[in-house]
Amino acid sequence: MINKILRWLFGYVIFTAKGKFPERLINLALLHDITLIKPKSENGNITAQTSVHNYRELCDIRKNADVTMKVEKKIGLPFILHRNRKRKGLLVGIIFFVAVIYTFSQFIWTVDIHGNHSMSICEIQNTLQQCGIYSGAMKKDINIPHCERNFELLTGKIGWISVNLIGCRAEIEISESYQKPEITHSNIPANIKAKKSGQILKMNITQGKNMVAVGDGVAKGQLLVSGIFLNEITQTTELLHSDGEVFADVSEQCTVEINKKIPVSTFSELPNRRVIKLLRCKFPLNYKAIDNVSLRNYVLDKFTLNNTTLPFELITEENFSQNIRQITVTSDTAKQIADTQFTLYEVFSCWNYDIKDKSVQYSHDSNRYLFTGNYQCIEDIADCVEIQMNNKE
Amino acid sequence: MNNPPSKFEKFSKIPHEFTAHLPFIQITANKKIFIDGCEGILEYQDDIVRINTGTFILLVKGRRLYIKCMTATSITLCGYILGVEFLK
Repeated sequence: MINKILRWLFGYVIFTAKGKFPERLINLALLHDITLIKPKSENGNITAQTSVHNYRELCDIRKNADVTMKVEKKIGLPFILHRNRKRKGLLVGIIFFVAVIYTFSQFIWTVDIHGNHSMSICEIQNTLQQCGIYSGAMKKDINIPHCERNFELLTGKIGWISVNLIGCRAEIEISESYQKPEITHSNIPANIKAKKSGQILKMNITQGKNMVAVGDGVAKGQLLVSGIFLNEITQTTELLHSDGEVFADVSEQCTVEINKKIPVSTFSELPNRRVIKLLRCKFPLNYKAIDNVSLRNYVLDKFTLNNTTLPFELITEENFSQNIRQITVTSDTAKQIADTQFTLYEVFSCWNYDIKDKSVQYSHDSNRYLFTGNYQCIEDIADCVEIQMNNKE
Repeated sequence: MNNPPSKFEKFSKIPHEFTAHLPFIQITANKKIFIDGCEGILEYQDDIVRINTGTFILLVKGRRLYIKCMTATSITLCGYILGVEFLK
Protein backbone atom coordinates (compact mmCIF):
# COMPACT_ATOMS: atom_id res chain seq x y z
CA MET A 1 0.00 0.00 0.00
CA ILE A 2 2.77 2.42 0.99
CA ASN A 3 4.61 1.42 -2.18
CA LYS A 4 1.55 2.25 -4.26
CA ILE A 5 1.14 5.63 -2.57
CA LEU A 6 4.83 6.49 -3.07
CA ARG A 7 4.69 5.43 -6.69
CA TRP A 8 1.61 7.58 -7.23
CA LEU A 9 3.27 10.55 -5.52
CA PHE A 10 6.42 10.31 -7.66
CA GLY A 11 4.55 9.27 -10.82
CA TYR A 12 4.98 6.23 -13.03
CA VAL A 13 4.30 5.18 -16.62
CA ILE A 14 2.83 2.04 -18.16
CA PHE A 15 4.68 1.24 -21.38
CA THR A 16 4.71 -1.41 -24.10
CA ALA A 17 7.92 -2.70 -25.68
CA LYS A 18 7.58 -4.10 -29.21
CA GLY A 19 10.23 -5.85 -31.19
CA LYS A 20 11.78 -9.14 -32.10
CA PHE A 21 13.12 -9.88 -28.61
CA PRO A 22 11.39 -7.71 -26.06
CA GLU A 23 12.60 -10.14 -23.35
CA ARG A 24 16.07 -8.73 -23.91
CA LEU A 25 14.84 -5.40 -22.61
CA ILE A 26 13.96 -7.05 -19.27
CA ASN A 27 17.45 -8.58 -19.04
CA LEU A 28 19.12 -5.26 -19.88
CA ALA A 29 16.92 -3.43 -17.38
CA LEU A 30 18.04 -5.83 -14.67
CA LEU A 31 21.67 -5.37 -15.61
CA HIS A 32 21.28 -1.58 -15.42
CA ASP A 33 19.45 -1.83 -12.09
CA ILE A 34 16.17 -0.54 -13.50
CA THR A 35 13.06 -1.69 -11.68
CA LEU A 36 10.23 -3.00 -13.82
CA ILE A 37 6.91 -3.51 -12.07
CA LYS A 38 4.37 -6.10 -13.22
CA PRO A 39 6.02 -7.11 -16.52
CA LYS A 40 3.42 -8.91 -18.64
CA SER A 41 3.58 -10.56 -21.99
CA GLU A 42 0.79 -9.71 -24.43
CA ASN A 43 0.86 -10.90 -28.05
CA GLY A 44 4.64 -11.02 -28.13
CA ASN A 45 4.96 -7.57 -26.57
CA ILE A 46 6.00 -6.73 -23.03
CA THR A 47 3.91 -4.37 -20.95
CA ALA A 48 5.36 -3.09 -17.66
CA GLN A 49 5.32 -0.18 -15.25
CA THR A 50 8.30 1.93 -14.26
CA SER A 51 9.08 5.30 -12.73
CA VAL A 52 9.62 8.34 -14.94
CA HIS A 53 13.34 8.42 -14.17
CA ASN A 54 13.77 4.72 -14.98
CA TYR A 55 11.76 5.09 -18.17
CA ARG A 56 14.29 7.67 -19.43
CA GLU A 57 17.11 5.22 -18.73
CA LEU A 58 15.16 2.48 -20.50
CA CYS A 59 14.88 4.70 -23.57
CA ASP A 60 18.69 4.87 -23.64
CA ILE A 61 19.14 1.10 -23.56
CA ARG A 62 16.22 0.13 -25.80
CA LYS A 63 18.43 0.41 -28.94
CA ASN A 64 20.57 -2.47 -27.67
CA ALA A 65 17.44 -4.59 -27.28
CA ASP A 66 16.17 -3.51 -30.70
CA VAL A 67 12.68 -2.72 -29.47
CA THR A 68 10.37 0.25 -29.81
CA MET A 69 8.73 1.61 -26.70
CA LYS A 70 5.44 3.40 -26.33
CA VAL A 71 3.96 4.99 -23.25
CA GLU A 72 0.41 3.68 -22.73
CA LYS A 73 -0.54 5.61 -19.62
CA LYS A 74 0.96 8.22 -17.31
CA ILE A 75 -0.17 7.89 -13.72
CA GLY A 76 0.67 9.95 -10.62
CA LEU A 77 0.67 13.35 -9.00
CA PRO A 78 3.40 14.98 -11.16
CA PHE A 79 1.34 14.29 -14.30
CA ILE A 80 -1.85 15.67 -12.73
CA LEU A 81 0.00 18.83 -11.68
CA HIS A 82 1.56 19.14 -15.13
CA ARG A 83 -1.82 18.76 -16.84
CA ASN A 84 -3.34 21.48 -14.63
CA ARG A 85 -0.36 23.84 -14.53
CA LYS A 86 -2.28 26.60 -16.32
CA ARG A 87 -5.29 26.45 -13.98
CA LYS A 88 -4.32 28.99 -11.36
CA GLY A 89 -7.68 28.76 -9.59
CA LEU A 90 -7.04 25.13 -8.77
CA LEU A 91 -3.76 26.03 -7.12
CA VAL A 92 -5.44 28.82 -5.16
CA GLY A 93 -8.19 26.39 -4.15
CA ILE A 94 -5.68 23.80 -2.94
CA ILE A 95 -3.78 26.43 -0.94
CA PHE A 96 -7.05 27.74 0.52
CA PHE A 97 -8.18 24.21 1.40
CA VAL A 98 -4.89 23.42 3.15
CA ALA A 99 -5.04 26.77 5.01
CA VAL A 100 -8.64 26.15 6.15
CA ILE A 101 -7.85 22.62 7.31
CA TYR A 102 -4.75 23.83 9.15
CA THR A 103 -6.62 26.72 10.82
CA PHE A 104 -9.56 24.57 11.87
CA SER A 105 -7.30 21.85 13.22
CA GLN A 106 -6.01 24.34 15.79
CA PHE A 107 -9.39 24.44 17.56
CA ILE A 108 -11.54 22.01 19.52
CA TRP A 109 -14.56 21.03 17.46
CA THR A 110 -16.49 18.90 19.91
CA VAL A 111 -16.39 17.98 23.58
CA ASP A 112 -17.49 14.41 24.35
CA ILE A 113 -18.26 13.57 27.97
CA HIS A 114 -18.32 10.02 29.31
CA GLY A 115 -18.76 8.46 32.73
CA ASN A 116 -21.18 10.91 34.36
CA HIS A 117 -24.14 9.52 36.29
CA SER A 118 -25.53 12.09 38.69
CA MET A 119 -23.98 15.23 37.14
CA SER A 120 -25.76 16.52 34.05
CA ILE A 121 -23.95 17.06 30.75
CA CYS A 122 -24.98 20.74 30.84
CA GLU A 123 -23.47 21.23 34.31
CA ILE A 124 -20.22 19.55 33.22
CA GLN A 125 -20.08 21.59 30.01
CA ASN A 126 -20.53 24.84 31.93
CA THR A 127 -17.76 23.92 34.38
CA LEU A 128 -15.49 22.83 31.54
CA GLN A 129 -16.09 26.17 29.84
CA GLN A 130 -14.88 27.92 33.00
CA CYS A 131 -11.76 25.73 32.81
CA GLY A 132 -11.20 26.69 29.17
CA ILE A 133 -12.42 23.55 27.42
CA TYR A 134 -15.27 24.26 25.03
CA SER A 135 -16.15 23.95 21.40
CA GLY A 136 -14.07 26.62 19.64
CA ALA A 137 -11.23 26.85 22.17
CA MET A 138 -7.68 26.88 20.83
CA LYS A 139 -5.92 23.61 21.54
CA LYS A 140 -2.55 25.19 22.29
CA ASP A 141 -4.08 27.42 25.00
CA ILE A 142 -5.35 24.44 27.00
CA ASN A 143 -3.25 23.43 29.95
CA ILE A 144 -4.68 19.96 30.55
CA PRO A 145 -3.35 19.28 34.10
CA HIS A 146 -4.46 22.76 35.18
CA CYS A 147 -7.93 22.25 33.67
CA GLU A 148 -8.31 18.85 35.34
CA ARG A 149 -7.34 20.28 38.73
CA ASN A 150 -9.64 23.30 38.31
CA PHE A 151 -12.55 21.10 37.33
CA GLU A 152 -12.12 18.97 40.43
CA LEU A 153 -12.00 22.07 42.62
CA LEU A 154 -15.01 23.70 40.99
CA THR A 155 -17.33 20.70 41.14
CA GLY A 156 -16.03 18.91 44.23
CA LYS A 157 -18.14 15.89 43.32
CA ILE A 158 -15.80 13.87 41.17
CA GLY A 159 -13.19 11.25 41.92
CA TRP A 160 -11.02 11.92 38.90
CA ILE A 161 -11.21 13.51 35.47
CA SER A 162 -9.15 12.82 32.39
CA VAL A 163 -9.04 15.24 29.45
CA ASN A 164 -7.83 13.68 26.20
CA LEU A 165 -7.35 15.79 23.11
CA ILE A 166 -7.78 13.44 20.14
CA GLY A 167 -7.44 15.39 16.94
CA CYS A 168 -10.02 18.15 17.18
CA ARG A 169 -12.11 16.28 19.72
CA ALA A 170 -11.82 16.72 23.49
CA GLU A 171 -12.78 13.50 25.21
CA ILE A 172 -13.62 13.91 28.88
CA GLU A 173 -13.63 10.83 31.08
CA ILE A 174 -15.18 11.41 34.48
CA SER A 175 -15.49 9.19 37.51
CA GLU A 176 -17.88 10.59 40.07
CA SER A 177 -17.08 10.21 43.74
CA TYR A 178 -19.50 8.34 45.96
CA GLN A 179 -21.62 10.41 48.31
CA LYS A 180 -20.96 9.67 51.95
CA PRO A 181 -24.05 7.96 53.35
CA GLU A 182 -25.82 9.58 56.26
CA ILE A 183 -24.79 7.79 59.42
CA THR A 184 -27.48 7.25 62.02
CA HIS A 185 -26.10 7.08 65.51
CA SER A 186 -28.13 4.30 67.04
CA ASN A 187 -26.56 4.71 70.49
CA ILE A 188 -27.63 8.34 71.07
CA PRO A 189 -30.45 8.50 73.67
CA ALA A 190 -33.71 9.33 71.95
CA ASN A 191 -37.50 9.30 72.44
CA ILE A 192 -40.15 8.59 69.85
CA LYS A 193 -42.75 11.30 69.45
CA ALA A 194 -45.83 11.55 67.24
CA LYS A 195 -45.39 13.32 63.90
CA LYS A 196 -49.14 13.71 63.46
CA SER A 197 -52.34 13.39 65.45
CA GLY A 198 -54.29 10.15 65.08
CA GLN A 199 -55.38 6.84 66.57
CA ILE A 200 -52.74 4.16 67.08
CA LEU A 201 -53.41 0.91 65.23
CA LYS A 202 -50.17 -1.01 65.55
CA MET A 203 -46.84 -0.66 67.40
CA ASN A 204 -43.58 -2.44 66.63
CA ILE A 205 -41.18 -1.21 69.30
CA THR A 206 -37.71 -2.78 69.33
CA GLN A 207 -36.20 -0.55 72.04
CA GLY A 208 -37.65 1.83 74.62
CA LYS A 209 -40.57 2.01 76.99
CA ASN A 210 -44.12 2.28 75.55
CA MET A 211 -45.98 5.33 76.84
CA VAL A 212 -49.16 4.71 74.83
CA ALA A 213 -51.12 1.63 73.80
CA VAL A 214 -52.86 0.43 70.64
CA GLY A 215 -56.24 2.17 70.31
CA ASP A 216 -55.10 5.35 72.06
CA GLY A 217 -55.60 8.68 70.40
CA VAL A 218 -52.44 10.76 70.24
CA ALA A 219 -51.73 14.41 69.48
CA LYS A 220 -48.91 15.76 67.39
CA GLY A 221 -45.69 15.92 69.45
CA GLN A 222 -46.93 13.51 72.12
CA LEU A 223 -44.37 11.11 73.63
CA LEU A 224 -44.99 7.60 72.30
CA VAL A 225 -41.89 5.70 73.38
CA SER A 226 -39.57 6.87 76.10
CA GLY A 227 -35.81 6.36 76.06
CA ILE A 228 -35.55 6.92 79.84
CA PHE A 229 -36.33 4.05 82.13
CA LEU A 230 -35.60 3.00 85.65
CA ASN A 231 -33.63 -0.19 86.18
CA GLU A 232 -35.35 -1.76 89.17
CA ILE A 233 -32.45 -4.11 89.95
CA THR A 234 -29.73 -1.49 90.13
CA GLN A 235 -32.13 1.36 91.00
CA THR A 236 -30.48 3.60 88.38
CA THR A 237 -31.92 5.59 85.52
CA GLU A 238 -30.74 4.42 82.08
CA LEU A 239 -30.95 6.17 78.76
CA LEU A 240 -31.76 4.28 75.56
CA HIS A 241 -32.09 4.99 71.89
CA SER A 242 -35.78 4.27 71.28
CA ASP A 243 -36.48 2.51 68.03
CA GLY A 244 -39.59 1.20 66.35
CA GLU A 245 -42.65 1.88 64.19
CA VAL A 246 -45.97 3.29 65.31
CA PHE A 247 -48.77 3.03 62.77
CA ALA A 248 -51.75 5.27 63.30
CA ASP A 249 -54.96 6.18 61.59
CA VAL A 250 -54.46 9.83 60.56
CA SER A 251 -56.55 12.34 58.65
CA GLU A 252 -55.08 14.28 55.73
CA GLN A 253 -56.69 17.10 53.84
CA CYS A 254 -55.95 18.52 50.40
CA THR A 255 -57.65 21.58 48.97
CA VAL A 256 -57.81 22.48 45.30
CA GLU A 257 -58.99 25.92 44.23
CA ILE A 258 -59.90 26.56 40.63
CA ASN A 259 -60.86 30.01 39.39
CA LYS A 260 -63.96 30.22 37.24
CA LYS A 261 -62.14 32.41 34.74
CA ILE A 262 -58.57 31.44 33.95
CA PRO A 263 -56.13 32.98 31.49
CA VAL A 264 -55.09 30.75 28.58
CA SER A 265 -52.10 31.53 26.42
CA THR A 266 -52.04 30.74 22.72
CA PHE A 267 -48.91 31.12 20.65
CA SER A 268 -48.79 32.16 17.03
CA GLU A 269 -45.69 31.50 14.96
CA LEU A 270 -43.56 34.37 13.69
CA PRO A 271 -40.86 34.08 11.00
CA ASN A 272 -37.78 32.08 11.98
CA ARG A 273 -34.21 33.32 11.82
CA ARG A 274 -31.13 31.22 11.19
CA VAL A 275 -27.55 31.65 12.34
CA ILE A 276 -24.51 29.60 11.41
CA LYS A 277 -22.12 29.15 14.30
CA LEU A 278 -18.58 28.44 13.23
CA LEU A 279 -16.56 27.60 16.34
CA ARG A 280 -16.99 30.81 18.35
CA CYS A 281 -18.20 33.06 15.51
CA LYS A 282 -21.85 33.48 14.58
CA PHE A 283 -22.92 34.43 11.06
CA PRO A 284 -26.60 35.42 10.69
CA LEU A 285 -28.38 34.21 7.57
CA ASN A 286 -31.42 36.47 8.05
CA TYR A 287 -31.23 40.12 8.95
CA LYS A 288 -34.95 40.88 9.27
CA ALA A 289 -36.17 42.39 12.52
CA ILE A 290 -39.05 40.62 14.22
CA ASP A 291 -41.34 42.52 16.59
CA ASN A 292 -43.72 41.41 19.35
CA VAL A 293 -41.74 38.30 20.22
CA SER A 294 -42.94 36.76 23.47
CA LEU A 295 -41.13 33.44 23.28
CA ARG A 296 -37.95 32.37 21.56
CA ASN A 297 -36.99 28.76 20.99
CA TYR A 298 -33.53 27.85 19.73
CA VAL A 299 -33.05 24.64 17.75
CA LEU A 300 -29.48 23.47 17.33
CA ASP A 301 -28.55 21.27 14.36
CA LYS A 302 -25.14 19.68 14.36
CA PHE A 303 -23.56 18.11 11.30
CA THR A 304 -21.59 14.91 11.41
CA LEU A 305 -19.38 13.18 8.88
CA ASN A 306 -18.20 9.64 9.56
CA ASN A 307 -19.21 9.95 13.24
CA THR A 308 -17.15 13.15 13.54
CA THR A 309 -19.04 16.28 14.52
CA LEU A 310 -18.12 19.13 12.20
CA PRO A 311 -17.17 22.52 13.71
CA PHE A 312 -20.22 24.37 12.45
CA GLU A 313 -23.80 24.26 13.65
CA LEU A 314 -27.04 25.71 12.40
CA ILE A 315 -29.06 27.57 15.03
CA THR A 316 -32.70 28.18 14.14
CA GLU A 317 -34.43 30.84 16.19
CA GLU A 318 -38.14 30.05 16.34
CA ASN A 319 -40.17 33.10 17.37
CA PHE A 320 -43.65 33.10 18.82
CA SER A 321 -46.03 35.82 19.93
CA GLN A 322 -48.23 35.15 22.94
CA ASN A 323 -51.95 35.93 23.03
CA ILE A 324 -53.69 35.68 26.38
CA ARG A 325 -57.44 35.26 26.62
CA GLN A 326 -59.79 34.47 29.50
CA ILE A 327 -61.86 31.31 29.35
CA THR A 328 -64.70 30.28 31.63
CA VAL A 329 -64.24 26.94 33.36
CA THR A 330 -67.35 24.78 33.64
CA SER A 331 -67.99 22.66 36.73
CA ASP A 332 -67.26 19.41 34.80
CA THR A 333 -63.90 20.74 33.63
CA ALA A 334 -63.14 21.93 37.16
CA LYS A 335 -63.90 18.43 38.50
CA GLN A 336 -61.54 16.89 35.95
CA ILE A 337 -58.79 19.35 36.90
CA ALA A 338 -59.39 18.67 40.60
CA ASP A 339 -59.27 14.88 40.04
CA THR A 340 -55.91 15.29 38.30
CA GLN A 341 -54.61 17.43 41.18
CA PHE A 342 -55.78 14.86 43.76
CA THR A 343 -54.13 12.03 41.81
CA LEU A 344 -50.88 13.99 41.72
CA TYR A 345 -51.18 14.66 45.45
CA GLU A 346 -51.71 10.94 46.16
CA VAL A 347 -48.76 9.93 43.98
CA PHE A 348 -46.22 12.50 45.13
CA SER A 349 -47.29 13.51 48.66
CA CYS A 350 -48.90 10.33 50.01
CA TRP A 351 -46.47 7.82 48.51
CA ASN A 352 -45.64 6.34 51.96
CA TYR A 353 -49.22 6.26 53.26
CA ASP A 354 -51.79 3.55 52.96
CA ILE A 355 -54.99 5.39 51.97
CA LYS A 356 -58.01 3.73 53.56
CA ASP A 357 -60.74 6.15 52.60
CA LYS A 358 -61.14 9.24 50.45
CA SER A 359 -64.01 11.72 50.18
CA VAL A 360 -64.20 14.92 48.15
CA GLN A 361 -66.34 17.89 49.14
CA TYR A 362 -67.36 20.37 46.47
CA SER A 363 -68.39 23.99 46.90
CA HIS A 364 -68.26 27.13 44.79
CA ASP A 365 -68.76 30.84 45.03
CA SER A 366 -68.95 33.59 42.41
CA ASN A 367 -65.22 33.45 41.53
CA ARG A 368 -63.99 29.96 42.17
CA TYR A 369 -64.61 26.27 42.63
CA LEU A 370 -63.34 24.71 45.85
CA PHE A 371 -62.62 20.99 46.19
CA THR A 372 -61.57 19.53 49.54
CA GLY A 373 -60.22 15.99 49.62
CA ASN A 374 -60.36 14.23 53.01
CA TYR A 375 -58.14 11.19 53.32
CA GLN A 376 -58.06 8.55 56.04
CA CYS A 377 -54.58 7.02 55.94
CA ILE A 378 -52.47 4.57 57.87
CA GLU A 379 -49.08 6.10 58.43
CA ASP A 380 -45.95 5.52 60.51
CA ILE A 381 -46.06 8.52 62.85
CA ALA A 382 -42.92 7.62 64.80
CA ASP A 383 -40.44 10.50 64.94
CA CYS A 384 -37.13 9.80 66.66
CA VAL A 385 -36.16 12.82 68.77
CA GLU A 386 -32.81 13.04 70.52
CA ILE A 387 -32.93 13.53 74.31
CA GLN A 388 -31.23 16.84 75.05
CA MET A 389 -29.13 16.81 78.21
CA ASN A 390 -27.31 19.61 79.99
CA ASN A 391 -24.29 18.31 81.86
CA LYS A 392 -24.05 20.75 84.76
CA GLU A 393 -21.83 19.84 87.67
CA MET B 1 27.53 -31.16 -11.87
CA ASN B 2 30.18 -32.91 -13.92
CA ASN B 3 32.95 -31.51 -11.72
CA PRO B 4 33.72 -33.89 -8.88
CA PRO B 5 33.62 -32.51 -5.32
CA SER B 6 36.84 -30.77 -4.32
CA LYS B 7 38.95 -31.74 -1.32
CA PHE B 8 37.69 -28.72 0.57
CA GLU B 9 34.08 -29.79 -0.01
CA LYS B 10 34.85 -33.28 1.13
CA PHE B 11 36.66 -31.99 4.18
CA SER B 12 34.09 -29.35 5.16
CA LYS B 13 31.14 -31.61 4.26
CA ILE B 14 29.38 -28.69 2.59
CA PRO B 15 26.85 -30.06 0.05
CA HIS B 16 28.27 -30.01 -3.43
CA GLU B 17 25.14 -28.19 -4.78
CA PHE B 18 26.00 -25.06 -2.82
CA THR B 19 29.52 -24.67 -4.13
CA ALA B 20 29.13 -25.84 -7.72
CA HIS B 21 27.40 -22.59 -8.87
CA LEU B 22 24.46 -24.56 -10.17
CA PRO B 23 20.97 -23.09 -10.51
CA PHE B 24 18.64 -23.73 -7.63
CA ILE B 25 15.02 -24.41 -8.59
CA GLN B 26 12.11 -24.56 -6.21
CA ILE B 27 8.59 -25.45 -7.36
CA THR B 28 5.54 -24.87 -5.15
CA ALA B 29 2.76 -27.17 -6.38
CA ASN B 30 1.98 -26.11 -9.94
CA LYS B 31 1.54 -22.46 -9.04
CA LYS B 32 4.97 -21.01 -8.45
CA ILE B 33 8.53 -21.68 -9.58
CA PHE B 34 11.59 -19.97 -8.16
CA ILE B 35 14.88 -20.09 -10.03
CA ASP B 36 18.06 -18.86 -8.40
CA GLY B 37 20.98 -18.55 -10.77
CA CYS B 38 19.04 -17.15 -13.67
CA GLU B 39 21.15 -15.32 -16.27
CA GLY B 40 18.37 -13.90 -18.40
CA ILE B 41 15.01 -14.43 -20.00
CA LEU B 42 15.05 -15.77 -23.52
CA GLU B 43 11.31 -15.91 -24.09
CA TYR B 44 8.49 -14.51 -22.10
CA GLN B 45 4.95 -15.33 -23.15
CA ASP B 46 1.70 -16.23 -21.51
CA ASP B 47 2.16 -19.94 -21.99
CA ILE B 48 5.93 -20.39 -22.37
CA VAL B 49 8.86 -18.89 -20.51
CA ARG B 50 12.43 -19.81 -21.38
CA ILE B 51 15.10 -18.93 -18.87
CA ASN B 52 18.85 -19.09 -19.38
CA THR B 53 20.62 -20.51 -16.34
CA GLY B 54 24.11 -20.69 -17.87
CA THR B 55 24.39 -24.48 -17.74
CA PHE B 56 21.05 -25.17 -19.40
CA ILE B 57 17.87 -23.51 -20.56
CA LEU B 58 14.80 -24.02 -18.46
CA LEU B 59 11.51 -24.14 -20.34
CA VAL B 60 8.40 -23.55 -18.26
CA LYS B 61 5.07 -24.31 -19.90
CA GLY B 62 1.77 -23.25 -18.44
CA ARG B 63 -1.18 -20.92 -18.61
CA ARG B 64 -1.25 -17.27 -17.61
CA LEU B 65 2.39 -17.29 -16.58
CA TYR B 66 3.79 -14.03 -15.26
CA ILE B 67 6.91 -12.76 -13.52
CA LYS B 68 6.13 -12.21 -9.87
CA CYS B 69 9.55 -10.97 -8.86
CA MET B 70 12.86 -10.62 -10.61
CA THR B 71 16.39 -9.70 -9.59
CA ALA B 72 19.71 -9.85 -11.46
CA THR B 73 20.21 -13.52 -10.46
CA SER B 74 16.81 -14.90 -9.56
CA ILE B 75 13.30 -15.00 -10.89
CA THR B 76 9.93 -16.12 -9.54
CA LEU B 77 7.26 -17.18 -12.00
CA CYS B 78 3.64 -17.63 -11.08
CA GLY B 79 0.67 -19.03 -12.94
CA TYR B 80 -0.68 -22.47 -13.80
CA ILE B 81 2.43 -24.55 -14.55
CA LEU B 82 1.90 -27.49 -16.87
CA GLY B 83 5.50 -28.63 -17.33
CA VAL B 84 9.17 -27.91 -16.87
CA GLU B 85 11.77 -28.95 -19.41
CA PHE B 86 15.56 -28.76 -19.32
CA LEU B 87 17.08 -27.90 -22.68
CA LYS B 88 20.75 -27.87 -23.64
